Amino acid sequence: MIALLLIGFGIVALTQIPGLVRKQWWRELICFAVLWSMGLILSLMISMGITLPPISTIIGKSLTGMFGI
Amino acid sequence: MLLEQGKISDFQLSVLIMGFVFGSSVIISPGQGAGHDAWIACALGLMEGLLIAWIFTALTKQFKDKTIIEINSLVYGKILGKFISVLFIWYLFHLGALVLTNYVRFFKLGVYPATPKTVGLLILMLVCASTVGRGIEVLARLSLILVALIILVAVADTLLLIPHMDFNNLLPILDVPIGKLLWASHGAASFPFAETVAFLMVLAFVDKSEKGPAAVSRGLLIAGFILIMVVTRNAAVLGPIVTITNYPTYLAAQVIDIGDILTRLEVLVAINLITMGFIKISVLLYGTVLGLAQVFNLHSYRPIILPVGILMVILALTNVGNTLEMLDFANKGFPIYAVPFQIGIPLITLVVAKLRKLPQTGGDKV
Amino acid sequence: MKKITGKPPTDDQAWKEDKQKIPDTKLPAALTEKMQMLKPYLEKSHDIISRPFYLEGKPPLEAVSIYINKVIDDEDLNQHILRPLMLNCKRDSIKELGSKNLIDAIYQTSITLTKISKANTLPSLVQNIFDGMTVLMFDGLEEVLVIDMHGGEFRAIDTPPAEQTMRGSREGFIERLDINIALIRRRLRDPKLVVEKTMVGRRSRTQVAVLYIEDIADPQIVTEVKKRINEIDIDGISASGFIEQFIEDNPYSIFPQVYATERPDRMEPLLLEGRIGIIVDNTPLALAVPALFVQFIQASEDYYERTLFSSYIRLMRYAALIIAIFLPAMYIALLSYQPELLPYDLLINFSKSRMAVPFPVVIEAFVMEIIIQLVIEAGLRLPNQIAQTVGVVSGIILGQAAISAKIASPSVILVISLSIICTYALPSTSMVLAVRFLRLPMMFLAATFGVFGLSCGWIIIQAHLISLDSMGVPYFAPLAPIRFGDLKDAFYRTFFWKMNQRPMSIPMQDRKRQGNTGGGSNNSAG
Repeated sequence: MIALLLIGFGIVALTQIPGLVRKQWWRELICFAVLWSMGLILSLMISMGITLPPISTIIGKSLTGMFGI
Repeated sequence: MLLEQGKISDFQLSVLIMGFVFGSSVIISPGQGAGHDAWIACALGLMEGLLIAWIFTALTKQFKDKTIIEINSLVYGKILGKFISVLFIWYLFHLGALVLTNYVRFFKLGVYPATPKTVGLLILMLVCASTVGRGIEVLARLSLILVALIILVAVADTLLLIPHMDFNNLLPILDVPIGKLLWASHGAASFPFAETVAFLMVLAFVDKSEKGPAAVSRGLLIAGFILIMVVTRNAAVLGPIVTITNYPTYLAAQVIDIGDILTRLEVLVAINLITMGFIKISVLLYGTVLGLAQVFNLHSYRPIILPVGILMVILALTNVGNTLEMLDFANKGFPIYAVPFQIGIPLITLVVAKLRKLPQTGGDKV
Repeated sequence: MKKITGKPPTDDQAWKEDKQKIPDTKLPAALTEKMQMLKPYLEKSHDIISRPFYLEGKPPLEAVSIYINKVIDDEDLNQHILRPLMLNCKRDSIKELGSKNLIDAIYQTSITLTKISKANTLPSLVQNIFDGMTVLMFDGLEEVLVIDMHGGEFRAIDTPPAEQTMRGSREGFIERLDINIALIRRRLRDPKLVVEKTMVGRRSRTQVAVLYIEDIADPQIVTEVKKRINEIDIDGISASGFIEQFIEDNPYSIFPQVYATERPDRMEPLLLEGRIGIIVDNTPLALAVPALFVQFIQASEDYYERTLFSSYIRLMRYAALIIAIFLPAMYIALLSYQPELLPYDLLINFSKSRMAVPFPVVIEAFVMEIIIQLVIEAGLRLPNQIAQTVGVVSGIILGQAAISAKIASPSVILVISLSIICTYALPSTSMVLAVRFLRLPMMFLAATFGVFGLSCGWIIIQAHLISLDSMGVPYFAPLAPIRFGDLKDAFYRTFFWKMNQRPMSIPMQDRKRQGNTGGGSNNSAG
């Protein structure tokens, strides 16, 4: 599972990074790298069975609590 | 260098808006809180949606050929503008994830209990990402074909369901308390009509920008009428069940049975839902990546499509604990949560722009 | 778009200049010197014939004709050059004409051919000889005569084998460029029809003609096409397919973006709609750009038969396209994911026929599809008689055997062969290839994700089609971007007397196609 994930992320990186380096778009490269590693870390966490906080539920609960609906 | 060279016509914009509005709303029908009066809630919601559309199109009228990101940095200055832009982008991103969640829940429950949901999500996201990478023009042209098919299926469905309709199910009219009705109609406005605020990222690319606002309201109206038709039909066909089922359209399509040959047409509905969700998710993904590219001054939004898409899938997988929580959020949390983004940001920006007398004529900088 | 080459550009430049290997010298006057100069270029080519002869006079004028064997017609050479020069040409009488230039006088009085030019440098002389010209050199004259008398043996004009019609003309393009151009010129006597010739291929020096109607075709597209053709740098062109692959916009697409036809009567309406024709020497297939997707579903027969029937058939063809791509995939998706969608009795029949088959439906369909693709491929290259045998063996014996050996069920064979038949209902061979290519991926999507995968595939195909361009013109027009006025010739074909305007999908200068004939109701007596 984790291997599959790494392969997938590797493919994504391979499709994008060479083009960016060739065009010398460093800003894009940084942007891509940040988003890419966020995705990688989060999906690794999911695949290792760590439950991420349910953001929508939290937002919804706090809003309904705030307005008392 | 322009991030997006494509141009779309006002007609294409209308169609895109229709596809966007149909989006996930044919799964979770809008105004459900009002029970068999959902069509009234829907109609009221459509009006509210039109009002909101009027606000944000007024903004694009003020600033021609600019996306909300560029408008923000003009109106609020660089730092605050970027902050507000990021908030707006978060809304687009989160909305995209919510639509994906809707889809995956629906597929898990209704159509493909066996397929792992992550795989389905990734495939759908891959399709969306490949289309977004081809630019807004392709998306707009594609939506025309898909929306034509969708309307065809929706109308055919309704015609086939005529024998099963019982309009007594719609009576008595207006028997829910007015407060509940208004709440349901606000729900219908925030989902799906006012969600078109996402088009603040797209309106800049309409080739005759003065025709943009009319195109938005035209698209909203047509989509609204078809939705009202669908909602009415569902209520008439399903009767009291409509209040308890989560997926009334899908359920209604299961009723169709013509001569034992045309049965179980719900897969057609399911295919419809995929295509519509595709348009909505693509528009939201497009808005997100274009917004990010504009905030960070990138040369192109294409490199970040895939990572943003992956993040969207991750958020879609984790943002709610279970279906109940999702419905709870959709019915109660979202109508409040959406207000600052759907009404707040455009309205305040418009007011501030008017007060600061922006954009100054003559010194129009790009 | 800028091409990225491995070599540095300076290297490329040097290579380009290297091509002028023949020293750029003027020709000497004496015949023996000229022959000496030419010798290194000609001595290794045994098919080049040099025939010395004398022009009558005092003293007789020595001359040599050089030509490539069988590229010209020997009879023509005797009739129009050798005989008049050797027998009738009086050097004295030529002088009497008062011509200052002897060489002009010779061809003006004694050569009964039309396409004559002169050359006086070594490279142009050598090049002309190898281009198949007949060269006449005279002693004491620096200039030589270059006579274009291409002839020899060629295939006669024949019926186009791949695009047959019942009612259209029986003429198809052949391998000779001049004849092909003439075939079009005969149909289109418009003085505005422009024929521009150019040369492509460093070594093959293939002639390529670009045809368009000056006041219809969009000048921007014309320049673009010419630019792309002139930019081709290749050693040899052996068919128009080379040109097609050099000028197309999206090489990674499986869909054909250049329309190829072997019918002059198909080319004519394309030119009239503002397209640009490209004819390549030695290829019986002419190209037309910009091409639209719908064009590959239209057949020339559609325009020759009556409107209602043609429209019906065209709709059928669209159905065939959908069936050809999606039917096996749909079969897999339904049987392995949504069997409840099929009517009960049908499902029972299907499962009964599949009962003895040990494989899942996916494997069965995949194997059959691959076998049939191979059978097609085997039949294509074989001589006719053997191909028939292969057809019978594969179609009847193989199918029957597969069923009785319980390897495949009859229903899967039915589905696959139906989709193959539908593939070949498409009129354009290049579109047939695209469809054959698409079927397997669709089956794969259906096998993994059922109807969901199928609709994803449907979206991907459409998104791809929509994003394509042909010469910068949207490929999927008039469907997307939608041009309502052009739909009259897309899914169906409307009456000719209603097509008063040219299609908008092809950029052109002159929208008006014809006057208002009125048609139908006008013609009824009363």
